[in-house]
Amino acid sequence: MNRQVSTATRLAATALLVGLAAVACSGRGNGAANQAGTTAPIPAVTTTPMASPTMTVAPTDSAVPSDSPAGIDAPATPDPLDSDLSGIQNLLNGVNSQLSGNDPGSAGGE
Amino acid sequence: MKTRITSLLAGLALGSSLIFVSAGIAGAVAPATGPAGKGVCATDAAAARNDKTIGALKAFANCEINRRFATLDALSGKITASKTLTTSDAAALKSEIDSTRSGLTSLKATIDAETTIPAVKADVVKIAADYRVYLLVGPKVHLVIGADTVLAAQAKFAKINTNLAARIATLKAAGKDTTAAQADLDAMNAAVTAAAGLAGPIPGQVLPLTVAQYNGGTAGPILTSAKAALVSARNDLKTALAQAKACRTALKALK
Repeated sequence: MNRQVSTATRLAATALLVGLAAVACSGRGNGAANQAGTTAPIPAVTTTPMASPTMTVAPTDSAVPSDSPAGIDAPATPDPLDSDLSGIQNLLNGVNSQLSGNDPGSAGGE
Repeated sequence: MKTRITSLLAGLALGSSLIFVSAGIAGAVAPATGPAGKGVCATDAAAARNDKTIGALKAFANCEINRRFATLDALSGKITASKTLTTSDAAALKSEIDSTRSGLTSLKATIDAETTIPAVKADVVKIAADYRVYLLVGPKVHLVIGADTVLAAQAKFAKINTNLAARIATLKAAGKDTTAAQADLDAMNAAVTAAAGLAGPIPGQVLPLTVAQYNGGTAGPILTSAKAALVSARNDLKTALAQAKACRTALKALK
């Protein structure tokens, strides 16, 4: 029994490590594919009394690839309005600069 | 090891103090070497007052002329660097700077050739009165660049208007209440129109002003009025920018 438990624990730990490595190393699409392959043996282990550790591993693995593409995609599509508004702010700064330079007192005087 | 760390810390402290000292020197020297350095000729002015020699007077005159050359160079640089000046306004300003520089160069040659103190004194008066680098040429450059910048902003706001109007139309078609966003957009456009209305006439008002008009007292009020208009136009642009942001925020809330 102890031997079975330790095998199950080792299997779970290996699955976790492989899963994390796949997420870290692969692209968006490949990561999901790798997860499916590495987590496949885990359901077979869930029949043992040590099922709960493996159950906690599986959701974690599946959650990581689905979250990361969203996190990467968000800043990839900036609102074009942002650059236009920023350009206006720059022009405003330019007008302010001319107004402060226009003061004869600040320019040295005749 | 402890010694090495101590040496390192001492080195860092020395380096930091040198940086601060250098910054202090730069800060103290910068105004004197720049075009705004009214005090650049203070020593020469004091020498001319105390020595009362033609040499001292000429040195003071040359210093004041060189100070104006530095200012004209800086103004010329601003014209070249401006991305918003229209071609015709830039050409008019460059022409004015060139003629001012040319006149001062001639005056400098005249001063160098003078042989009497009264003649040099009369020439020194001309440095300011015949060219008005600080009271007329400088303000012209700044006011015209500022006005053209406001007009450049108007073109950018037109693009923003197109963008926001399209978003409003899309959400309206989807059955959303876009009343608030539309009000913000209308306010933005009204502020932009007001700003352009104030800035648009400025180049035409200030570019033709002459030194004679300044000395006669008629150019000063026009410059003052143009500056007030530019300040108002700037404030309108600020309002327009705030309204554009408010419109976008209102549209985001509808999604």
